[in-house]
Amino acid sequence: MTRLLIVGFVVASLSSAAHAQYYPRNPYYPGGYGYGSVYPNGPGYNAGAYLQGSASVMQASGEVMVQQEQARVTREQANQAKIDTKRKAFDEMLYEKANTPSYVEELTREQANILTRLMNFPVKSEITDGKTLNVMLPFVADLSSRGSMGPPVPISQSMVNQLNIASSGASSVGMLRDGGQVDWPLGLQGKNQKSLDKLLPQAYNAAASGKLTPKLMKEIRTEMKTMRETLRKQCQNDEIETSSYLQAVEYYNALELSINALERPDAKKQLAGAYSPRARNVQELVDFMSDNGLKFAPATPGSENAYQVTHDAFVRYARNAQSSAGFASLNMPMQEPPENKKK
Amino acid sequence: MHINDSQWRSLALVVALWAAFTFSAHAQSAKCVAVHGALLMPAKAKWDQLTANANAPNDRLIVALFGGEFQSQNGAVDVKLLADVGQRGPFPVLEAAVTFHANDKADLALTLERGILVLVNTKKSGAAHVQVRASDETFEVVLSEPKAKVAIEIYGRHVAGPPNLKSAREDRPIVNVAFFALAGEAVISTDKHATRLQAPPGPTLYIWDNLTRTPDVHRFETLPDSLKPLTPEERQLVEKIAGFAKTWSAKNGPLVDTIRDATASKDPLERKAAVVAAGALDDLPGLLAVLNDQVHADARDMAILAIRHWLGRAPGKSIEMHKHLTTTSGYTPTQAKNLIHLFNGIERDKLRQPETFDLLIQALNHAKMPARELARWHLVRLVPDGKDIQYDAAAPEPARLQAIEAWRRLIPEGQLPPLPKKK
Repeated sequence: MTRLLIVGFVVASLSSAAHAQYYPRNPYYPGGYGYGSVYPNGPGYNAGAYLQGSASVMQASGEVMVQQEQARVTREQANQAKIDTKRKAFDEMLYEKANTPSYVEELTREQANILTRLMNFPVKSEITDGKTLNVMLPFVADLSSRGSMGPPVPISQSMVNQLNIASSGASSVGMLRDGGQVDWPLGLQGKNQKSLDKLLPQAYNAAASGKLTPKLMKEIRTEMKTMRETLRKQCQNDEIETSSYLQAVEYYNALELSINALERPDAKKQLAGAYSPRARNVQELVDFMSDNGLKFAPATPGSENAYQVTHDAFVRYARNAQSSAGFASLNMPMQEPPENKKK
Repeated sequence: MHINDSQWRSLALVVALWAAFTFSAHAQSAKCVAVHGALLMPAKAKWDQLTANANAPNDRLIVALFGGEFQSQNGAVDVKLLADVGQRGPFPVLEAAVTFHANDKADLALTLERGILVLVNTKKSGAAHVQVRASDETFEVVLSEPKAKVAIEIYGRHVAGPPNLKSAREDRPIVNVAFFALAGEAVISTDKHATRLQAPPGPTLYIWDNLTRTPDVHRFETLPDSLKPLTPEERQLVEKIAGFAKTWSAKNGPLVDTIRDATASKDPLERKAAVVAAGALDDLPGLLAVLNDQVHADARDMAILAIRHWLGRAPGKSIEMHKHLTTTSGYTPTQAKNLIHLFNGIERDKLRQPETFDLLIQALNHAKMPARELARWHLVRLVPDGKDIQYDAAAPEPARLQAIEAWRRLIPEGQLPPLPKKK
């Protein structure tokens, strides 16, 4: 019997070709959403009324554009999710044969061309922990400082409001932004959660007025530690589903970072909204971050979509800017800024 | 009673329709030419065998342990059904299975249920038409010229992550169907696309999946190594494996029991083949029993693959397994769901959480042996530097704890695995 193994050809071909094939690229969307000219000329025009009217028109058209953008992002995310899911299932086959690069090997490979990879093939967690935005930030700022600005790429203020911002290298109070009120996932609910529901608003108010005490922080940390231990035991005893456990741990870690941020010298500033950017588009957001020496902190659970939308907007802006500067063709890998190359 | 002309005509029409239907339902569209091991067809609480030179019944599943050859009744198409228990190819393709159907418009119609099949145009002139159903798609395969040959493989897996137990419809694996032109030209068509393939050099590989439902076509300059003829050693191995299946099916008593016994054979190759066979015959209790085998770690390892393969075969398998685990294997619903999650694998995003590795290391001392074996299975894949750590899921607890300590030294609690050692 001549045995013909299709299995071989699939892997043989896909180990190289398929990765190019299955890893989705962010499609290039040419052109921008210009605001168009609304300046009046001619006699008899009522400047106040006109400006009010044109402001309304601009606001309305801006909203429409943001909505269109969001619809596009949603559609794109759905398509990308399908391709990504297909690739993941495909990778399972290689994983079984221990043919896939291990997690640690992937990490090593990541060190090279990090910007290109993060812009083209990020994994979800890299977007939601702010990594992709932080890597792109100096690159986009650099493009703009060299005069390579593309057309404005709008971002809705409601999305910007959900981004956690912190001074460079620091954590953000993001999860406590709502006066210390926290929406707990199922895995963390219980006795400790009830205690923390009382303690965290107290800590928020104390930090906002510069009166946070070590005693209060110690109380919070004791409750947090017990909560973590309880969760661990639940997992060990199979009382909680693995997926809920990992989700709860993710939430717990983000909360712990926000609690730690309360002790930072700039906590008061953060809570007062000094790090809350007002930005209508990518350029304004990048300018705000660069001017204030800020970084994106990890997303708080529930705000992941805002990070995805901002990531997509950054990629589009960067591509447009590169394209308009004439030094990159469509779908070419992004050029690494000197800062990232050094890494 | 008087029957008028009109009534006669109506009656004749009914009879003709009944005859046509009966003929169509019972017509044999293919004949079995050769059996390599055993060809099995499910019957009530047992498995019937299909022998060489017998007609292959229509609309009945035929499972190949581990190979078979068929010919369409009109002699236009040869069909080879193949499995890869010898693991020559990088893909873990286990058993193969097919169902033949009646079809007036094609030379042959079949559903590729599992594994690999090869179609060859055996006409003296002209094209041969084969209707191939796979997953939920129907492909028209035209083997454009005599001797044109196409290999087709179907492969399904769940995406890593927790199972969706709400409904069979939502518990849907991703199925890939690949067509490879081995000789001559072929055209693969669905309702939406028609693609011409040819043997290398040229557009040779066509891959379709049930999620995007859009084919990818790849060009090859030459045949890949894994498609080249078997070496004498490989041929010997394949024959040996097929020999096991032949022996099992010749024994008296229920085949499933014979195969269960063989999963504890002294011959490691027979153990592996038996585990694959247990999966092929839907013996989930048998596979879970292998995962609890105190003696044979290699059989447990193979059982993981066989169950992952079984879960990926069709929608609803996770629900079936969950039900089995909770009703007859003493698992709580949460334990059962966590175990299936481990079978499916850990999501890529979660691999960036140190807690995932903590969880896997902890699970090396889980109360249930299948969970321990699965934790090991994932850890050695995710962190190859840990492959040398001695661990046996069936070992007594002190030995397991020692292994956990070794893993902890490699991945301290709360940390991600270190970068791999340079080779």
